[in-house]
Amino acid sequence: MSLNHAKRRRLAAVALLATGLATMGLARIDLVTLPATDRTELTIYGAEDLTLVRETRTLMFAKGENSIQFNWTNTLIDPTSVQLRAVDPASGLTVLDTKYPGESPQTAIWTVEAEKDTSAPVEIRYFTSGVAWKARFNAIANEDETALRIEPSFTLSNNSGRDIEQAESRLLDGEVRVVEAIAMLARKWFWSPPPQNRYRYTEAVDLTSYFARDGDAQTLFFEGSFAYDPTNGTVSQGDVWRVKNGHDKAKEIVQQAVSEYYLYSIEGEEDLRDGWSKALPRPAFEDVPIDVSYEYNPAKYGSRIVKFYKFANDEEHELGGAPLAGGAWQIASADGRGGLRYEGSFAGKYYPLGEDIELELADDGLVQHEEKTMSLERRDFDFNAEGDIAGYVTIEKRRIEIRNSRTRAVPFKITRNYGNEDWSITEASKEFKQVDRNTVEWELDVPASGTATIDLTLETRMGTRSTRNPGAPIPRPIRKPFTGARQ
Amino acid sequence: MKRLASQVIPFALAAALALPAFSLARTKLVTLPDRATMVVNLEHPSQSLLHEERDITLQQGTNFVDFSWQGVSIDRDSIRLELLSNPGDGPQASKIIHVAFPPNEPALTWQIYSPEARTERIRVSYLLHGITRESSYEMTVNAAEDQAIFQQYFQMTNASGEDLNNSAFRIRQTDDLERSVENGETRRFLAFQQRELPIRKLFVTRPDPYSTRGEDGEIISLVYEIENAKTMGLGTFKLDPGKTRIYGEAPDGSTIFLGEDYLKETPTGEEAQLTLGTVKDVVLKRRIMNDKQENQRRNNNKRVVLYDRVVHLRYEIENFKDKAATVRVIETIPPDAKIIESDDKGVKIERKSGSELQIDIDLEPRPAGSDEDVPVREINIVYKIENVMG
Repeated sequence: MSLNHAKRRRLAAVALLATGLATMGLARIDLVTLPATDRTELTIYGAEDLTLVRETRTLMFAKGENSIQFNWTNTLIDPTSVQLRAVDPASGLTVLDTKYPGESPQTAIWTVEAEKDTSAPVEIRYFTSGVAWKARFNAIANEDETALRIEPSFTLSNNSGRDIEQAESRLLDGEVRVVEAIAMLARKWFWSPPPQNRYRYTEAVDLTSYFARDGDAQTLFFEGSFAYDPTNGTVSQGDVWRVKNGHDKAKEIVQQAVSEYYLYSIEGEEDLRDGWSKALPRPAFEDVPIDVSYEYNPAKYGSRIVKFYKFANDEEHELGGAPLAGGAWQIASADGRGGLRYEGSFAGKYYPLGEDIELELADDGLVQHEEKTMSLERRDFDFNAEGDIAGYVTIEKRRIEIRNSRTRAVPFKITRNYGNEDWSITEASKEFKQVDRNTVEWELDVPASGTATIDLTLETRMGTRSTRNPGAPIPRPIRKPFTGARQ
Repeated sequence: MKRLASQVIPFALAAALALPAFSLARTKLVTLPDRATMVVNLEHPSQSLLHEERDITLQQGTNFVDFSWQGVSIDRDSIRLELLSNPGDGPQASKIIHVAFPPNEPALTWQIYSPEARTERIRVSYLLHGITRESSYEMTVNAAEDQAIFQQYFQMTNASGEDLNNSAFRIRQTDDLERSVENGETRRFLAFQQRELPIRKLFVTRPDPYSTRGEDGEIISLVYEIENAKTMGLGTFKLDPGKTRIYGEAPDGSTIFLGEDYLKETPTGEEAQLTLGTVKDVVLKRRIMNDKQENQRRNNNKRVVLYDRVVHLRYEIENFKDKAATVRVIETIPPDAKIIESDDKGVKIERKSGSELQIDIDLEPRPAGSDEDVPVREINIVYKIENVMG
């Protein structure tokens, strides 16, 4: 038995201890013939509550039929996904059937026929829910807001009902079609304990004897709790830490393309207790050049002004090595006094290579927008045979003012939808772009501590004057009496 | 921190857990370092970003730093750790290996590698909820009513659940304010002042467009107008909205309270008006002299389908004060109205928008002789709305 194998056996003993604690009401997975797991591999899907678990265990078989029982009490495993197969097809093992005993709903019993007495590795594969990952990004702008430092990380969370120990983990980014949710399939078979029943319990356990007597384990693994005493709010003492493989830097996470998905493989093995989360930092992107801009788009953002940091996922912006996973962004900027100021939180989407990225920030209240009607007139009336108005044209002069209270000029984008009538802008003091038949855009710079103004003339053709729908009834203006006089 | 039991426990540091310590299977929370600095950035209108720096002792190898809180609302996703003393990726840099989040507990644990035993300055930043802030103002107007001491106060209430001791509160207007603000406490700071702010005194009326007050005269308010401009000693930042109390210099040298108003949010370069009480010494009567239809067009059933409307407004103003005064009439008119006739002597008429007409009328002081009648100043405005659809 190799040293490495000996180490696994020893750590397997730790796993057994944890199983023993399951009598305190914790989740458990049993494989009655041999509980040790040689290798565990997780593929955690980002878009679905779905994790593919592949456990490799070495089992002893007697010639003839063998019964192998697998139990997953109080976990979120999809029973329909549980499979057993021999790792080596030449091992002479055949899975004859799988039984799900009625009296023990979270149990599968395989009947395996062996051609001879043998010891062979088998793979148990199943789907579970409750294990998830998400990407996170901290983005810190410099004081001039010309460049960002982007600190990406992946956060793994485990609410599966069982501890993850020494699992090789891979994260899959991409949409996967699932016709039935794994969590629902798992719950069809049993009732899951509420979260408060899952409570860390390690403070009573002394694991000293299991650790690192031979020096091959290298560092401490956080096992237990520094939980509070709720009666006085103090931190408990005597927490448990465990020695495991140490690292002098963050784990490397290798990204690979697989079909239409991206796979992130985490270096080494991961441990994650049930109920815990863990963030794994990835190398930061430094000096990502950005453009700052503000935008007013009432159809999209309502009446508020939105501030953006804009860049692209490409080499020009010191990125471009790989797509950026969808995830939460926390954005701050240097406040010029050695600290940070809050800029916003943003739910980012998946950004493929070359894609433009616009981080939507909180309204800082420093740039304001106002649009008002300066004058209005009606002309070019058409009358029908009865002498009623059948069509006309309105000429509306509008003024847009953007006021900038910042000490630097800022770009500003206005997106305006002037409705479904037959309208056009016949004059504008600033060039605009016609996005579609109802929408126009302006992009302009607003001077530092100053105001930018756009004057425009909006011509709207109604009724028979309309080129969009000349047969439509003309709207009649609702007019309140002004000056107190009756009309 | 005095009230640990009921307050945040910002740091529980399990340091001193190093690689060579193979025999360690248990440890204790060994240090609770004091904050070296604490900055509360309140520049955002609603969010409070705190960053605190502490010196922690790292052993060679892997160290664990616990951050936990209770009784406060911290946005867990916003928590960020920076290693300030030895940043970067080089062999001598300290490095964050990962962050672990325990279940059902407001806490996290950073695993930090240090190549040697040393003290490391760290900075932890996070969003803390429960700190509210508002601006208020005081303005003391001189006797000539052309200048004022203008003071902006910044008031914050700490309902976060945490005592913010020896903290630097950071706002845009001024240098950091070094204070301690305990939980439940409200503090008011002088954030900015301009002791010689030029102001303009106006008498302003906004007639109801739907009615007139006839012989009663329109309600005229006393208004002080300020401009958020550099030429006025302001103009370097936006003025936040806030209640403004206005005092005036009394003849005996003391000050009296003149009234209060809410200052609107005022970007740089913009004017703002502060409205006080009602003015009795200036009288303005607004009369509708005419409101008629012209150029009527009728359909086959003789119903009017199109016409022009002409409205004639007259303002009669008397100044009973012994000083010159400017009266501003803010008239609401239809956006399709065109001014076709107006007096222009000593009158400034500005169309602020399609529906707002601003008329500034300069008035002479009342005649010095007691038996001389106060003259009635008469201003006429005629506007026309073409092609009104009947």
